Amino acid sequence: MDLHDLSARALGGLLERGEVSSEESVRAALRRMEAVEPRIHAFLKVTGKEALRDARSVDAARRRGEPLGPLAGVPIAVKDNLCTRGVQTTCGSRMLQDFILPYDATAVEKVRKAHLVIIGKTNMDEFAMGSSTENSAFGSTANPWDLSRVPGGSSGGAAAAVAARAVPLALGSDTGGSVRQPAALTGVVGLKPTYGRVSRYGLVAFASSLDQVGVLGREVRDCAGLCRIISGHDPRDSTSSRAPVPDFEADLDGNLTGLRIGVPKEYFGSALDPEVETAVRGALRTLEGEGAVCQEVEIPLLEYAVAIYQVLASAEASSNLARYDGVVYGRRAGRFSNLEDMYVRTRSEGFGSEVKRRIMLGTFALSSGYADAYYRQADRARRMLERDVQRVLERVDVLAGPTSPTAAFRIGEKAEDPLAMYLMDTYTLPANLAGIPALSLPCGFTSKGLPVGFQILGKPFDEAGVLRVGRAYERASPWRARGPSLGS
Amino acid sequence: MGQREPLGAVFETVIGLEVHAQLKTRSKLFCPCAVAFGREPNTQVCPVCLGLPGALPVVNRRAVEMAGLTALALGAEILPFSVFARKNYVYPDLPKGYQISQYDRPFARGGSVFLDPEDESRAIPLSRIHLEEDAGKSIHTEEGRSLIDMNRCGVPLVEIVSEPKIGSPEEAHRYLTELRKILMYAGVSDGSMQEGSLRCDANLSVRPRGSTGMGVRTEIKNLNSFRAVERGLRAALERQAAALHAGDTRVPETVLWDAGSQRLVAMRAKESAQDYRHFPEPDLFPLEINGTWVEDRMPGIPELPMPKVRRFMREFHLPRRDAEILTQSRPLAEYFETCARRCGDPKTAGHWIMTELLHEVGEVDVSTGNFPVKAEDLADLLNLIADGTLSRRMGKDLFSRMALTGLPPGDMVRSEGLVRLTDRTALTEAARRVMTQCPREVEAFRAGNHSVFEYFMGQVMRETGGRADPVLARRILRDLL
Amino acid sequence: MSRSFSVPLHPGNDMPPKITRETVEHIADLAKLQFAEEDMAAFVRQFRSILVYVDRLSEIDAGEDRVSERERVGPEHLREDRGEAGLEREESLRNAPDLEGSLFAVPRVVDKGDARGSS
Repeated sequence: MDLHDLSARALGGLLERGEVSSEESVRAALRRMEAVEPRIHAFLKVTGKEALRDARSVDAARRRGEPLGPLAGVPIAVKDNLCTRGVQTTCGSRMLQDFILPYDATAVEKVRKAHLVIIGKTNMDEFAMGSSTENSAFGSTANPWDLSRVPGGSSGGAAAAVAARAVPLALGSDTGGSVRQPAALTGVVGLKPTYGRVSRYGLVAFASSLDQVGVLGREVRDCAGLCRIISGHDPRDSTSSRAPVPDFEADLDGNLTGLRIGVPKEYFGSALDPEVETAVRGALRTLEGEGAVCQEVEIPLLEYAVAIYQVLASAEASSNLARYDGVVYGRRAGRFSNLEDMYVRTRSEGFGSEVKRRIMLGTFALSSGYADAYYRQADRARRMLERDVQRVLERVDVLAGPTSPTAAFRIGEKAEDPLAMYLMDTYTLPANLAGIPALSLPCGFTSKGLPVGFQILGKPFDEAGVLRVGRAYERASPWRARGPSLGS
Repeated sequence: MGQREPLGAVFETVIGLEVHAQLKTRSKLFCPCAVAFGREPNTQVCPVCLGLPGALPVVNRRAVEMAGLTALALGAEILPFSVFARKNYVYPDLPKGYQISQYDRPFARGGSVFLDPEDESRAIPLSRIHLEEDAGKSIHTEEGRSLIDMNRCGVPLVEIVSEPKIGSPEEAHRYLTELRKILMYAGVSDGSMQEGSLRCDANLSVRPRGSTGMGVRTEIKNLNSFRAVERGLRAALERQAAALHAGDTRVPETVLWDAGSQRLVAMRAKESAQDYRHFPEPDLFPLEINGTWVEDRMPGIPELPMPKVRRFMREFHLPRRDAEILTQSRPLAEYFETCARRCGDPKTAGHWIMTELLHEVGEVDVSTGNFPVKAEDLADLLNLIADGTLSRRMGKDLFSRMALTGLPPGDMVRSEGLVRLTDRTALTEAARRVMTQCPREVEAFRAGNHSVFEYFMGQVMRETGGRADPVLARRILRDLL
Repeated sequence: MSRSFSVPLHPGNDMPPKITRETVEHIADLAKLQFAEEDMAAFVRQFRSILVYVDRLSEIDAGEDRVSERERVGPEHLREDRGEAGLEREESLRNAPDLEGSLFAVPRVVDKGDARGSS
């Protein structure tokens, strides 16, 4: 087995025992990345030099006998909307092309402190708006399982990098499913922690009340380990939680006897692809085999989740993206006749069409005369949905269902139909609206050989519980071993 | 209630003022950048106040405390929770494209500003008090560019909105004067309109007497001094009144006061038709203020200007005007009170402070409390004058020198031997010397020219270095002559 | 203080609202965006269809605003007031598109006084 095929934990073990150096691991990752990149285009920036430098200093620290964490020296990729000091953070947008920030996101800081080695910034839908990574200003990313198909989005680059085994771990962001949906479409594990679990400082804001930093990996344990590293209260983020961070791996292999799984009826409607449904129901049966008990639950407001989300996320985004005006930083239009013209040209040329669409929708939803019927109504409905989900989670331990209604679709297939694209997030965005943790993991393949993912949603701050269920499923299923052929 | 300026029997003037005061915190409202003035442009900035991607606001506790003090000092009700909200608009000195303020649920509601120490009914009620962040500063060049310095961006402001119950430009001036005093007494603002730490926007309308509501309003911005407030309002009033008399329909408008030309300048209609799309700030949780927190802050409120004026009038029998001058700042009021109590003569103490201290002894900044002579020392000096040890003139002279040296009068008197000369023998000797030196004047006096007597007094004073006790000297001279 | 100036939109009971080109232009003006002529028709169409979809929100009887139910924070959890140094000037100006000395430069603002208060 090549180094790049190893899980982060296994690699970390070798590093700990001195059987392999971080420099070797990083070189292996860079080699693998170079081999696959021409086909998948997962990265917007590869920081090879810096990575080798960081790897060498980890190796030196280890030789000095310094105590290092279990993932020290392991290579990792970071989505390009997480600020990395001294290295570009484009958010997949022309607006921030060549934009160098003077600080690291808190999550990035923690990853560095744990001595993981960042090897590059990954491709994404512009400003995290999208479900296919086709909205990147710098070209789309291909799904390693079928190069003619999308990897999902908006963390498509990160998911593809992990699926293609260039890195065992990646940091992404999840506002409406942007970590979980690409994880499902590329056959990897994706975790969105509870809102407030991970600091948003340095995560370029899309929708502030929904955004969370998420993790991608090929194994549940790897995701648990990385999530623990990045979690914790941050005084620089007023919405970050003071809830203590337990060891998410402590009871990871615990059994599921008596675990109550709620299966929302609304997740199994006509929009769900039959092959996806088959695989997901198979996963639920497997969990029952492990001792869990499934029961159908009803959460009627789930039918409105996409509408609620579209209004709220766009509204917050329209405000969060107002800062891109070419005054203090970022791209500015080349020609303009006056200040107003400068603003309009800068923004119209700098933003892609999906971003513009959402800014328009959001501005409309907040505008005088419409704010009550749209923004405030969506907010009221969201609070109701949140309450309904919490209530159901008092009767069951976790919820489970499909991650995405379909497997990976073809590049260009939904590009002209924004609404169809939004519906790709139907099953993922409830977790964002309710602020609860959610994990997607592979549960099978379609007849075309495309990965299918299923989701486990848990109570607020119960990442450990969600991960335990995921781990139990992982133990009892064969999907981990299969890797993509990458069109060869 | 304010006193309305009558515009004939039919119409009345309605004015509301919105005052923004910069809070005297060490750091900005949502980030730890130091609040400092006069620094190099764009050096007091960080990712948060520059609006860099990924930056998030974190509320300054002291700013909230100062908002609390402001509310308590104005008698406003602090709401159990208040919500920060985004006010969305585009302007170069607003890097995020929105200002974090408070909208539906402000920090406090109600309260009032009393205008007259002798008439408690004369008070302007307040609508609300809330926290918000300041924007950057722009300079507009002749070459057609605007240059922005973000140092000021994010500085904490407290916004105080009055009900539209002010009845005249003069009353607005009075309101602003009193409000400013209260803010300075509470220690939350340095009250400088010149430096921009206190700003004022006004709304004025002329409406049919007896009707409610604002009517057709003129919003006036850029009122950068007390004088501008009064003049700008007066101009707006005349403008509306003229339109009324001419039968013109008035439209709501926003105007700027141009201090250079001393005129109102209309703003373009487009710019004033803003849709701020307020919504609760998702990066901040609602702020909860419970009763205990409020109670804990009450002792922090000093005696406020109006009650102090009343007390000075009552306790020290000061005329209103004097009481108002002596309470113009808290340090000055405390100075006066210390001095008055120690010397037991508030009237003299007050008079002395208003004349000698504030006017004679160079530049005194009453807001800082750095007085050249300590209050106790002034009291002691006044006592020395009162008990006859020093003449009034000697006292004034000594006071000037105390201001230079900072020494108490006792020390200085001893070192300069300044005690008033009351020794009969010494005085008699001095008088005889004078008479010996001026035989012609003695002749003149004895011949009946009594005006010469003052000359002799002057000479005796000179002879004794100004220390002669005048009453005694007179008697001795008379006896001798 | 509420200051809703009139806008050329007429919300009423007929949802979804009539989205005309004018509506889109007004929203674009607020958002500081513009659309090329050839894209405008497609955009209006997509915008309308999205609004038709989200219009289902009006079916929900969502009750009152629940601001009072949200998690709150007391003053003890706020930031201590310590003035700190921020970015180095070099860093703060680094990505600026246009500078004059150390000031951010833009085309001149039309009205000297601004839309919101004294400068």
